[in-house]
Amino acid sequence: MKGRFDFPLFLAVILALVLGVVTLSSAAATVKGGDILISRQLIWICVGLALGIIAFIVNYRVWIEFAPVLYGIAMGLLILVLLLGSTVHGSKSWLDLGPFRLQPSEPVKLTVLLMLAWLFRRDKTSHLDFRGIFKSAVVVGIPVVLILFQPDFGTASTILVMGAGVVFLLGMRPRVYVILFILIGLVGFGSWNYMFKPYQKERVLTFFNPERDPLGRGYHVIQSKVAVGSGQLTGRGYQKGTQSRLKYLPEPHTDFIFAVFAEEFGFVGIAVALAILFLIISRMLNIARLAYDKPGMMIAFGVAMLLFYQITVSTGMIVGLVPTTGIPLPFFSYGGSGIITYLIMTGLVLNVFRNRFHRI
Amino acid sequence: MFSESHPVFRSRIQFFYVVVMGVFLMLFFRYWYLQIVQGPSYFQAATENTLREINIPSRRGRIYSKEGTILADYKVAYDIMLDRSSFHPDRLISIAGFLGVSPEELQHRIRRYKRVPLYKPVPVLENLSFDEIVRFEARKKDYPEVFVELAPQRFYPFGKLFAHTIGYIGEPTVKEAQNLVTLQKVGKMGIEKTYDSILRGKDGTRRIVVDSSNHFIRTQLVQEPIHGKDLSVSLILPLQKLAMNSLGKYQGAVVVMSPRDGRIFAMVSTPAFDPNVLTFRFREKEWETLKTAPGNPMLNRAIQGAYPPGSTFKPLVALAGLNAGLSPRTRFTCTGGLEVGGRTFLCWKKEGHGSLSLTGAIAHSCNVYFYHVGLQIGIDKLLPVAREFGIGTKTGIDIPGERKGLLPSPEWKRSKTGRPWFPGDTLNTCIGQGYLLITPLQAALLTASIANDGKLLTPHLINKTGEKWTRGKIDLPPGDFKAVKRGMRMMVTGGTGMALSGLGLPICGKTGTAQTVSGADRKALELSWFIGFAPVRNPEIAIAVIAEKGGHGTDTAVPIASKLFKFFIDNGEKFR
Repeated sequence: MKGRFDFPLFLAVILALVLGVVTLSSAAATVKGGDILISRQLIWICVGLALGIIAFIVNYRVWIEFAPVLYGIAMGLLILVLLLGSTVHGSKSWLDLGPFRLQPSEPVKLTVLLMLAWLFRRDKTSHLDFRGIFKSAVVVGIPVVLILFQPDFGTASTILVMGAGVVFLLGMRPRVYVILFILIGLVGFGSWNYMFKPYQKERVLTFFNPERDPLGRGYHVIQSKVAVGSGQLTGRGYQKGTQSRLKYLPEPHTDFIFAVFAEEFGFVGIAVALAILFLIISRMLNIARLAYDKPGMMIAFGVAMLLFYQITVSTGMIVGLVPTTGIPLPFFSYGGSGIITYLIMTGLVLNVFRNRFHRI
Repeated sequence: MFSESHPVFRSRIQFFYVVVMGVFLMLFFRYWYLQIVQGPSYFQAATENTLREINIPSRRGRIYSKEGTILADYKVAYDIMLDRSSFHPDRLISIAGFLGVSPEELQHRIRRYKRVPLYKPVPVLENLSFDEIVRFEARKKDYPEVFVELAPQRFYPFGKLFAHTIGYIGEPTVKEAQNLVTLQKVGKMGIEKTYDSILRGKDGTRRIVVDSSNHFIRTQLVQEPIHGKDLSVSLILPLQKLAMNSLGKYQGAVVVMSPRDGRIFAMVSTPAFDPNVLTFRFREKEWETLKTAPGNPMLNRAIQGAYPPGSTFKPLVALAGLNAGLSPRTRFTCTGGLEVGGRTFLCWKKEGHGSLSLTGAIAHSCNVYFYHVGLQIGIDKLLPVAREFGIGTKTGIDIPGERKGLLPSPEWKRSKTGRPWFPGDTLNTCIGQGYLLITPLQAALLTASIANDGKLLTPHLINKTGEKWTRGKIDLPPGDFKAVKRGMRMMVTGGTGMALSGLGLPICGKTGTAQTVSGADRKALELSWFIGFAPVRNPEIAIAVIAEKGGHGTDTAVPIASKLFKFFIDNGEKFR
């Protein structure tokens, strides 16, 4: 029996964490109370690693058995956050738990994935029927709607894309694709022409093309492009980035952290970072391919999908490839709820790899 | 392995794998393009160009007097701003020398703004003229941290005259600043404060790109400024001037208002201060002097000064008496004093007034008559009527800081002093002495309420009329008002206010002389009061005048009122 542990994936995650902390320690210097951010992030990484180890040890099929309970708790937290949450940057996304502020929408990502795996744990088909599509739509739809109420576009879209990815993996008949395509088209066309007010249209158009609003959202993209570009081949050096120092970048410790990284470590740094992130996703896809059963495959694939989407949006946004949305870069951005969730997810995927040969 | 035995799933994973690879290649090339191909030009942009956000100041709305004269204006002036993100503390002494202030002072000014984000420039010198700016511009190359910004300066052309009513503007407090986007000044007192949200505009923003030697490269308009709206107040400029001049050296207040709609035509409090001084940011010393100046010029005596009303309270006591069953023909005899509970309460006329009716008692201001009224009806019948006329409550005028005075009741006395209410307290209250305190504005409102037969108005400075400023009606029969007015008219034609009889205007009035102790030396001081309205039928103005240390009502307050009435006779159209 060879290889119970996917060492390359583990190593890639650890490297990403190291790069993340280094960048954060530079970015945080421009934020008020930055030194506290670093020590907190380190504590959360430790907590995440510990929980990740637990997620790795207990067989993932046991976790899936608990999925409905975990999903229920998570939905409860989302409702609670709407009722009692504290508002940061206009979104009611955080629950104050004394020393720790929990962002429930982060762990929700994991529970949605586990719930989908639970739904189809005994499914033998290679295509979803309408019932299956409907069930997945409900499981994904509830948290998405609740998170849109906060409102937090970024996280809602993350869960939606992850759910869509898993449904794509489970498969649909060609005619279902056609029907869905037409349906989305109709709804989009209808609401665009009859429901949206002019200012809402303007907002959507700006979302897809920041240049329409060069002084609002567009301004930040222009500044982050200057930051990335001025890094050139080898970067300006650790803690020497002028763009982030002078506060031209908004949220340098979360959404725009990769711009700080690009400015200070240059294209060499970017090449290394992209390679590490690509390695993480490709190893996870490989584990999906090797998984023993369908739920295992779904978990590995779903996590890969989620990380892929967040990485694409967050690194693409700062260079103007993707519309600006507030999505944190996994393993890099500051945020306890996020980092702990990603580490538990990694532990689960490694767990799928470990148990890829037989049932216990 | 699951996907080995189900190839369809494996192919889906592989399809996704290809997508991921494609996207990562795209990202890779995008970063390569930005950092390697375009890198040098972006590097140039980051090092040589700095963006600076400058404020396009909005203009604060003008304030006009009733007849259309500008009372609060703005004039073009310039501020010197400091860009703290490029400022190094080593340069402090050099920059301070350039600006002509001491390094400590400059440090102090910069520290004021420690809560303002670093990228926002802050003012370090203000209200400079164009000539001063020219000198500055010539040498600015050596001082890239500072630059000039246009900053319209609030300007009050009449200085002290409208200090208490129009008020002034100043730097926002921390709490006020939370609602502001930019470093705007906000209304601190008077009309400027109440109507701040209307008067204050919204500053615009311009981004300018400058190179490392502070040369202007290009500019970009981000947000147009939105200017504030103009306002009109009901104050009449010449009347206001007249009131101020007539008070002269006396500390006191004058309120002239409309008994028809509640508009205030004049409101003066002396001594006053120059609001132009307070609009400056860096004049803390003047501030301190003003706060401790003799006579407390910051106090708006018209709404914040609480005085015993003296005899001007008697018309209201008469109304309460009539309401409690006395008749205008009820007579009492004055022998110069009245003994109650072993104490003798005196009338101001030692030899006594003899037998008087209600009208005569008001006209001659007989204390003994009103002692009898007090003894007959008791404090319980007096208080509700006084409350109806707004004694002891704020009038609700549209400028902040109003005091509510004091209408003493037996409950109040017990809780405050622990002693019961004596009949003597009732007697003192009935002649406007004792614990009773009212503001000149309350006195004017009381006068207006008598003049208009009990229509309750909210006095206001904004030049608007309508339902919003009407609060209801005092439920007393018109005959009662008529009787009291007859007394107030008689006071002018043949009583204590005969100085007003020769003006050719049917005036009703009431003089008052109140005793109070003031200040640390507890010196007794006489307050000279007058309240009155005119004409008797369909009154158009109601007046309250008080002069501290003014002797008897007839000595100081009546001559002042006489000038105001004279103005009304000559300029009646200005009041409509």
